[in-house]
Amino acid sequence: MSRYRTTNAASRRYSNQMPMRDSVKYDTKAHDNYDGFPLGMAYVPWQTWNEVYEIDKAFHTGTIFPELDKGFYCAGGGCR
Amino acid sequence: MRDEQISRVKLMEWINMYSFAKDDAVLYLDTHPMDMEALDYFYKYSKLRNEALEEYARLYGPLTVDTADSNKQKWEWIDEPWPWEGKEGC
Repeated sequence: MSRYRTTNAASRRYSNQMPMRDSVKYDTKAHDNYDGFPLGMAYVPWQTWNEVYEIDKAFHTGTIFPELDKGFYCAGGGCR
Repeated sequence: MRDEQISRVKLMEWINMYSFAKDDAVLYLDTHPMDMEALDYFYKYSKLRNEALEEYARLYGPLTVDTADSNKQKWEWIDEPWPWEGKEGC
């Protein structure tokens, strides 16, 4: 269960849009806001340059961009 | 560990970090070629990386073929262990 649980702010921000992978059942209408969007298409928002990590943090995290530090497999900040 | 080995490892760590920062900026620039902040970041870490590689080559031997002529007297590339020799290096 904790495999998909993330703790960073970005994940919390999106958590109301993302169906929980470990849910046995979920109400799709309650979770997505994509009425009118065609099925089977993926959307990648355009990235902008913001603050970046210090290079030692970036190296150990796997990205210089805090907004791409999703912490999917670890609780943020990369594996230790 | 002897001081020289510690310095060598530390310098290698800096090279790795500079290289990573530069490479991640490269990925961003591929889709944002006119982003001046990203370009500045790329040039900053590219320069630091090159300086660190030259420093490493001068002190310990070349890691990259373009720093293999640091003393201008000899092709130093062949002095370093080859990948299959199982010693440290790239």
